[in-house]
Amino acid sequence: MKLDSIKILISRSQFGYLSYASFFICILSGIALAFTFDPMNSYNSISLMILLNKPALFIRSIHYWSAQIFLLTSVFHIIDHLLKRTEKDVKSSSWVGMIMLIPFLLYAMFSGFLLKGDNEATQGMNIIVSVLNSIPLIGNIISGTMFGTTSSLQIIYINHIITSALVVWLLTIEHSKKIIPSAKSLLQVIPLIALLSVILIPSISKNISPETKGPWYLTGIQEIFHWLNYPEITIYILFLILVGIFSVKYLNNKASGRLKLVLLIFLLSYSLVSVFALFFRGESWKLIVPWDDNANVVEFLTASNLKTPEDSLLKRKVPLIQGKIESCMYCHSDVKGLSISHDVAAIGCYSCHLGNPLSLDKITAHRGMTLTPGNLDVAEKTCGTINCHPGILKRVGKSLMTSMSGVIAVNKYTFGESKTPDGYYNIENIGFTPAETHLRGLCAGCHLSNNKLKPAPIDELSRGGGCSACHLNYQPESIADLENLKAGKKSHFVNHPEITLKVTDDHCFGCHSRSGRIATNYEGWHETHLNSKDVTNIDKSKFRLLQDGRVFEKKNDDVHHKAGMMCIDCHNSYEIMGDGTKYSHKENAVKIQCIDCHTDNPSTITKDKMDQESQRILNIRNKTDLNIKYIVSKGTGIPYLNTIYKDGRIITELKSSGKQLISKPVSTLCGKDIQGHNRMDCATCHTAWAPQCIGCHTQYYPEMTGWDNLTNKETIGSWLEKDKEFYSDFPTLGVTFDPKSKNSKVTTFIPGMVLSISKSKNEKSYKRLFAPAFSHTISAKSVPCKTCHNNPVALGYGRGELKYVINNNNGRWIFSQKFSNFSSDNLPEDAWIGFLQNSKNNNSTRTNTRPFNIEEQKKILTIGSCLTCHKENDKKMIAVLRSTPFTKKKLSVKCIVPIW
Amino acid sequence: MELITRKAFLKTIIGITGSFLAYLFYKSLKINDHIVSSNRVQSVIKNDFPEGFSFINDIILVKKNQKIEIFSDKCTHLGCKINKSSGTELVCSCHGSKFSDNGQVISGPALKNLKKISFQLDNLRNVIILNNEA
Ligand code: FES
Repeated sequence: MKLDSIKILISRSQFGYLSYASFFICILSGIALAFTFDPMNSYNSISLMILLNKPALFIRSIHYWSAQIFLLTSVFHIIDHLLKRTEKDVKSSSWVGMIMLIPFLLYAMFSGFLLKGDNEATQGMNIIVSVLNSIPLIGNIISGTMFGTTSSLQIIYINHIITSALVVWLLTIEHSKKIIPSAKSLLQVIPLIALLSVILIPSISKNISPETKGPWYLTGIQEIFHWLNYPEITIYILFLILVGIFSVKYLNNKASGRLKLVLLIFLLSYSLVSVFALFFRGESWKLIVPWDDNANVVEFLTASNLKTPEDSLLKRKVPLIQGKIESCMYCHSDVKGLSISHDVAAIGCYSCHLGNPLSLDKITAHRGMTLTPGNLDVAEKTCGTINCHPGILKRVGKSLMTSMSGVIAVNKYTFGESKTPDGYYNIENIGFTPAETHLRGLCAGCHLSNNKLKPAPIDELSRGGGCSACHLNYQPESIADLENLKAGKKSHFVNHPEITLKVTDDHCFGCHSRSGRIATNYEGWHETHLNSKDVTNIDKSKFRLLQDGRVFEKKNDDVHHKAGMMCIDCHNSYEIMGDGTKYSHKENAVKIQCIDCHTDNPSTITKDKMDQESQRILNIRNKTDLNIKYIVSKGTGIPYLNTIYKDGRIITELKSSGKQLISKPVSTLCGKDIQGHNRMDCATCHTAWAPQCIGCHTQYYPEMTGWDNLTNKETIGSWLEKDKEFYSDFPTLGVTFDPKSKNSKVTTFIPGMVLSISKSKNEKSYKRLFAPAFSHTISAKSVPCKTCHNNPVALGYGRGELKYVINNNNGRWIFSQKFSNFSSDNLPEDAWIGFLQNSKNNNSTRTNTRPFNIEEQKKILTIGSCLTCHKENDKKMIAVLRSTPFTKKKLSVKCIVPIW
Repeated sequence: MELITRKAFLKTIIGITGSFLAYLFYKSLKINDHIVSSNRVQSVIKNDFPEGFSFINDIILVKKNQKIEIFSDKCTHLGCKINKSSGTELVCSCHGSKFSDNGQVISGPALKNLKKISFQLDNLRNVIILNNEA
């Protein structure tokens, strides 16, 4: 072919013909498409084309591309006319016809976009109807006529296939003086349309999305709408443009030339704005760059989607997922193991695992999929979408298990990086200060936003995983499936792990067996310095080797554990997943109190008065009786869904086994009414033991290779922790003060951050901070009185001998310490305070907490001195102690009270 | 003498019939309109929403310090469904209007605040009763 002929082929003069030819193909493909497209069920009928009806998909693609080319070539054709000044030669009627063609052409295009029936189309429909309605007087009629007045697509469909098509055709015939386009022009556009229709097949948008994009020729208007407060102006501008083009023919050469320039500049600017809006606007109207991973510019299917699916697939009957077709069902409808609410037949695969629900090609269908949908970085698109659990996701985001706020605050306080151990932090936002690298090295793995990297059942090393950290239970069948999948023996998972409310203690164990070690304490395991080699022939009743190599020895387990209670039997969803409030420390987030269940006078609630979440949980557990009285937390009003009040008894039904336990009310023997005991919390007498480490040292080694638990990457520089001794003694007691209620409370403490820190050779510091800790080693029987009154550890002095020495009728307490003084503060290594001393400042990991002051120590030791002669159940002594006010005058002459 | 030509007569008849049809058409649109706008019946929802935004069907419920406010999820700019919040703001995905958690416009193009939906709290049953829009 000669160069000239190519020139002619693509020359401007051809645009009119090409445009008409494209329109003609568009009409033909439209007619063919009408046989498979169902406007009443448009989304699904297009989905079916994409999945199974490949000829229809191809016809739709041709229809789409011929329409786009029709629009483009029409625009070029108009420009062509204007540039060549041919408008003067055209008959007036033809000119008017051409001008009228423009709005009809736009309508035909946009109505086609709306007929997709997807989320974008619905939003588009809302917009156009609002814009038209804002035209005074006739707006409603125009919008009703063009788009109907209901959400049905019926009117649009009729107008699309008949009104607009007919008008455009008639006007085109009038303008071009041809009933059908020439064979030559058809031959020119067909290859182009065919090629585009094969390689870029238009899709539909899948879900409600925070990104809404109009068709490419309207993204400019969408952007203009953003900047323009009065959107109806665009209609007037469009009208003005039409008038402008119209008048070009009737103005003199100079004026028409100027007008054309204005129109051309307008067109160029509009194109630029459109390109900007198409490629640089993202989710929630944020600015993005098109090469960004999250950018979702325009979605097309590729040629591979035109492959005819296997016959077997065509015959398969699959369920609709919430009224929509989901291609995953063609291969995965046999997945079982999920409860009704998460069953694949109800919610499909896509809503959790993402991917492409409109493809039967394995690779395409699985692209963008997540195997771990519980991870908090995807949960907004999976578990937390607006149709599922958005509220919970927000709560979880603020909960301490996600933020680790308390851990961070205390750590920064210990390292001297903040003035108080309070404040609100989030582990995701920490930087690289010494305290922060310390957290990264040692603690930062234990939070819910730590991503689970691959599907796996929970074990002792599991950390994070968002929703699945708690709610995913692998059954033996699903473990077998996973193994087979890994070994290549199976192609897909059939036995899905259960998504469940039955959160076992194993789910909590990984993280909570560290630091305060409540998970191991609860089960009665205490950490030792033994290592795995020391316990090769391990006696499993006495020792337990954890997966991380630590060896624990058997101690008394918590009375609730003995009874078979799991963590979730006490700790409810508003504690574990948070209640939407940001708390600085765990004791503020916990709702449960011992007296909620151990009382004769419980607070109760019936199901119909509960919050929706609690009701939903009861429904899942098939608890329908509206007369049952459930116990509520006295402090917060949150119901315990497994604990009821019936016939004067409080009965807890264990969530795992269904076994029923009866809680005993507080014993009449409880010494709370003894003076000074009224501010003691239950744990002070009922804690059997608490784990305590002595002689901790934390040092930074700048050259050593370490591990950043937040990013899960290797680092240069590492913090190492060494400890000397582990004890499982009765805890130390101290006082917490609540500024709100102005009440103080005696509670249990353990060494929290008692450690020397070497940030570098020259930068050393020492901290002696005790932490309030509920050890989870509760015993039904209270500890003997001497455990507090005559015990140097309980009083805060540390280990050693605390003796009451009487000389010449004078009694004096003497303490000989076990550990030598630490040089930095001249206190024994395991002490909180010096013997009969007041504490210095900064002694606890919390504000408003402190060890006993001298006055309090003296009072406690005074009773301790009684206990050196009297048995603790000595009625005479108890009578004196119970009498108010207690004065020394009430004592026998034989009593020798201590002098100080 | 003819009072009126045949052509003129025909034109008049066509004109009258056409106007009548146009009137009927106009009326028919109005009736459909009516069905749409009275679509919302009084509805009852359980009152157990977390702090922050909750998107329920066609409303957005905002709970702040235990206080509830309910808004229509229709953006006041051009009626898109708002389905996304970021921090304490609602963002419309169509043209980026931003609304605060009390429904007020933070930045345009929307000019009007989100439409408040009135409701009553039934503390006894712990439910929220949304009032009919009409
Ligand atoms: S419709 Fe919400 S910003 Fe335009």
